[in-house]
Amino acid sequence: MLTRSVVVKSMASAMSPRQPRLIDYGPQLVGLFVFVLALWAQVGDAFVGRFMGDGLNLVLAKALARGDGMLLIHFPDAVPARWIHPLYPFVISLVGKVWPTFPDNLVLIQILDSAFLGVAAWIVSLHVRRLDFSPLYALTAVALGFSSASILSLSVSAFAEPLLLVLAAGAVLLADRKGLSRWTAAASGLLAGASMLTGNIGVFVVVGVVTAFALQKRVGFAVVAAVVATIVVIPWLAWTIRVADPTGLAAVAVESARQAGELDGVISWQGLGPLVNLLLPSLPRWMMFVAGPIAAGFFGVGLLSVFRTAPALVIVVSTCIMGAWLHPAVVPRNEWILFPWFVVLLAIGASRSWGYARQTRIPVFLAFVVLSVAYVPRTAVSVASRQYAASLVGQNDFLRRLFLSINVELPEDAVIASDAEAMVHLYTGRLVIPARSDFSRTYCNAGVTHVARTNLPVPGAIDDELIRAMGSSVSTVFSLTDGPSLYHFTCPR
Amino acid sequence: MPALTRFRAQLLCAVVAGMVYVGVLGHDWAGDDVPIIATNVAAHSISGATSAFFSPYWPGDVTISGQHRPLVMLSYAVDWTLSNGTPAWFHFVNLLIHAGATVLFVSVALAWLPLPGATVAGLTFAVHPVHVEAVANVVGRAEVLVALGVFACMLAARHYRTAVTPRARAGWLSVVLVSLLASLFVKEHAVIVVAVVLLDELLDSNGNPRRSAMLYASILAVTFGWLYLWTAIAGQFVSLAEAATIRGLSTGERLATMFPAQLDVVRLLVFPLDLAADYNPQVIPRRTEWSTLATTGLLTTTAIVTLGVAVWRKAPAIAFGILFAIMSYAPTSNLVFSSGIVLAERNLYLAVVATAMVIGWLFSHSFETIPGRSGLRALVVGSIATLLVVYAVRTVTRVPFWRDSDNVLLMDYAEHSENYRARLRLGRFYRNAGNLPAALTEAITAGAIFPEDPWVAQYSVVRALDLGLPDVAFAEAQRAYNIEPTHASFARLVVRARFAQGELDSAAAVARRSIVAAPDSPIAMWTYTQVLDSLGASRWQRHLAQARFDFLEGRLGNASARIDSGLATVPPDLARPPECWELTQTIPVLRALKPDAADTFQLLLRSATPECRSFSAGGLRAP
Repeated sequence: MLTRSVVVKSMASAMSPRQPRLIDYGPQLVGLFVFVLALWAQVGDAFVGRFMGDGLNLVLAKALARGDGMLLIHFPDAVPARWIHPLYPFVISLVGKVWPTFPDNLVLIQILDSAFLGVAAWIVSLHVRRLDFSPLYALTAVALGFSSASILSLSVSAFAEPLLLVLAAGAVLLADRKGLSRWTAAASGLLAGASMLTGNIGVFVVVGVVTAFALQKRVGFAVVAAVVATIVVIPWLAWTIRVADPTGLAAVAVESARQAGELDGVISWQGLGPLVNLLLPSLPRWMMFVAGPIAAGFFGVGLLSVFRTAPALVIVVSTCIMGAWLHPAVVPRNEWILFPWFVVLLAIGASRSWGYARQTRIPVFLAFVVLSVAYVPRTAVSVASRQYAASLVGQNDFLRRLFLSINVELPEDAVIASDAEAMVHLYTGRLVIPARSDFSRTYCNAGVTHVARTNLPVPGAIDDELIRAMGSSVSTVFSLTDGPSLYHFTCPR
Repeated sequence: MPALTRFRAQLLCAVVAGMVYVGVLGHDWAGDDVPIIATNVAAHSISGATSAFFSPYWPGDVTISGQHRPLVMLSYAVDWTLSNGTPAWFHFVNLLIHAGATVLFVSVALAWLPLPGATVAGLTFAVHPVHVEAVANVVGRAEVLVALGVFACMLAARHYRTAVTPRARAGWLSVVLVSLLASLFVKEHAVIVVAVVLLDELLDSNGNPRRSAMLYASILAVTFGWLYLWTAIAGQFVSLAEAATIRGLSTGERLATMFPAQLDVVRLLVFPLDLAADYNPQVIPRRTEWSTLATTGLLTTTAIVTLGVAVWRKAPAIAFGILFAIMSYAPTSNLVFSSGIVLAERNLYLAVVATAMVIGWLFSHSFETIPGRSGLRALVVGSIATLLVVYAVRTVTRVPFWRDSDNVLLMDYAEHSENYRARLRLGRFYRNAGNLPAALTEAITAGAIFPEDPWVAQYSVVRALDLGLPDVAFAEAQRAYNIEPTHASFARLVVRARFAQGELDSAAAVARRSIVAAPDSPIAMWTYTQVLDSLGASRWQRHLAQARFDFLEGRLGNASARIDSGLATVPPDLARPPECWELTQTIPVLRALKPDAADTFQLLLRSATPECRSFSAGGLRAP
């Protein structure tokens, strides 16, 4: 028989709201941690643009901020950038509108990219907290996944991946939401479509979200998500078809992008490789062949474990990996955005394997320790010392001298051929075309007056052979030992 | 008599805050108002202010102040647009903001004080004389605006904590974050928001810190994001802007200087009759050894902190006031790290909260605990009333100090002639009036008052050269050079003085030494190229020196061409020591641009005479 006091207590506890625990705020704290870590990881004085993709994003942002549209304005005849996803350049063009001074405004882009990573960590944390696992364990895995030096390095240069991660994570979170409505499905489709406007791998986010709805026999939601995603991307697709006439300098630009890996013409067969490489950066090659399959195994168990509670997550991650395996235009960097989910699912898989049978605990534990030792210390050292930035900063002095010389010694209307055309344009404001072997035709048609050799290890780098081939067409303005050079160019008669 | 309500209390405090500053309405620009507002185009239009949104606060090349305050600049631009640059309007807006800050402070105080006590605290805040510099000087607006923002954040955070619905919580969270971001763009002091909001919550016995994790995560995210931006725009200059009083001191020496200054801070918060616009030496002297005064300052500071913690439960109003004041003052106290100002009354604008809360608490406490002893209560209330009247009178009498720049300059000199900066400002005043001898006298006196500041020589040397006194110029330049021998600007002063004396060889020696001491300094290299031109040095020497200068300035094409011209005429047998030195100095540039030539001339140097080589190895003649 219940006493009066017990009744009163139970009524009171039922009426008063549950006192929140600190772990309830884990997603916010993980988001804050990743945001601060990404800010800390920034390399403020490194020159951006050397990876081509980041340089083109910034050139397009500049063009969009000026109202020129999706044009590569560093070419003498501006070229429509039909092969570049427009959403990230558009977003950072807003930075260019409020603060047009480059490179000073890079600091805002860095804050924005760090915020994207922080928000993505928050969203992924919200998602994994719903899974049937210890929240502390799952949130720690999220924090570790986002602490990868490679993930943080995405926010150091102006890459689209942090934004892509926010959009993809948001789409997946909504698709896995309990009590789904058509509006939620539409919002998920909207974010998936936006992710398609942000990066190559976005197409697999759309496919994954729609498939997840369909596999759950929610065909109506699948149709809604697919229609919304299609509506989002149609204007861009229509524009790319309209401007698809790669002749003259446009062909040069496409070729340049291809050289930089933006448009690889072959199937890469990369699959899980890039993710395992991020996880096990410090293992010797032979150990990779042991630890890699173990990681993949845990990851597979993790995928199966959460399929009931988070089908969209499982399908989107699987689809993206499959897509990266087969799609010719997906570079490893695009696949990196899956890494936080990869770590979470791997951790969940390890946890499931631990609880599967008493006999398997020791090997599971040992495997988990090996993976943790391979990942955590190396990641900590790499992030703490900003090792990923060493190559960027190492070239700083040389590049600064090259850009300063171009700025103070070349006329405003100089046209330059360079092996880092976007970067040279961004830091000098001069018209720049990619370095080409058929210089006599291309350079003369474009009115090239100077050739800037950055001496960076970039695709299509100007080498001694090309300079020699130019013969009397070039005369040295200066040449820094082991550094960049600048030449005056005249068309061969 | 109408009953005291919250609205009436706030209105009363706002009116009093405005009344004591009515005198500012007739004021002109004063002090820093001129460079930051009157002659700064960014402050003259809204588009100018928005264009300069991501620029440091100080205009032009004066980026060493480490400040980024775009919303203050925007407020000036709005004022300028509305008033066509009439100073009275700017002063009126300052007055309104002070009244607004006082109103919000009353709301903040009401958390721990009953309405009468909060009203007295508000009146104290309204009339405290330390506020005069912030309110009566237009550029003091940053202090008043940031106080408004910090109070707004605290009040919005309270609403957030007590909001019931998720929508209300989200709304109040937005208000906190917008207020915080705005405050951070007003003044760097807003970084204390996270600490004062936490203090406010911890002192609130009904609070539950865990409920506010989202609030703190958001505040920290905004603060860190701003900090990153601020570091990129202005933060890098902070170390360069270290206050002259503590520049170059070790941590121990800095504390030995700053702990005695804490006694001044306490005096200013409690009994601020003696005020100063500038606390540079010798108003607050530089001390390199621990003193009895430093011990007293340390004990006083410790006692105040202890009091703030000890009364946490019994008198949360006092605990809040003291700890809030410590948080607001700590960033510029120079106890934790060096800042650009040794002490400024405007920086105590928020710290007055301590005085106000203590007086408010005493007032309300006198009614609560001594109900039967009306005589004692009357004494306490009478004392508080007298103190407030004294504060108000001092505020009203201090306001005219800030009438215009000339008045500030002359009055500051009259009140604190021991301040070397006041002497320098007076020297500039004399120079503008055409009285160069008096200008030189003041500059030399400033150097004598505070000989540790080498920058004084920038004034005294130029004045002495203007008056045709090269020996005086050399003595002043030498003094500065001895303090910072690696700084090219002081070496340049010595070179100029030596030239004026006709000591050309000595000038050349100092110029060479300056290059060795500061190899990356364009000033040193520029000075040296001018010396070579004056000495009529050989053509190849001048070419190589100019090539080094071009290299430093990034003109690599020019440098490359000059090296080609210079090297073509280098004599095959180097005999004169300066020639060896010239070539030795050029070797690094040759290695970068002409590595083959570097090897060739390295060999040439090896074959030079021993005397020549020893000179190149560092045998530079003393000035």
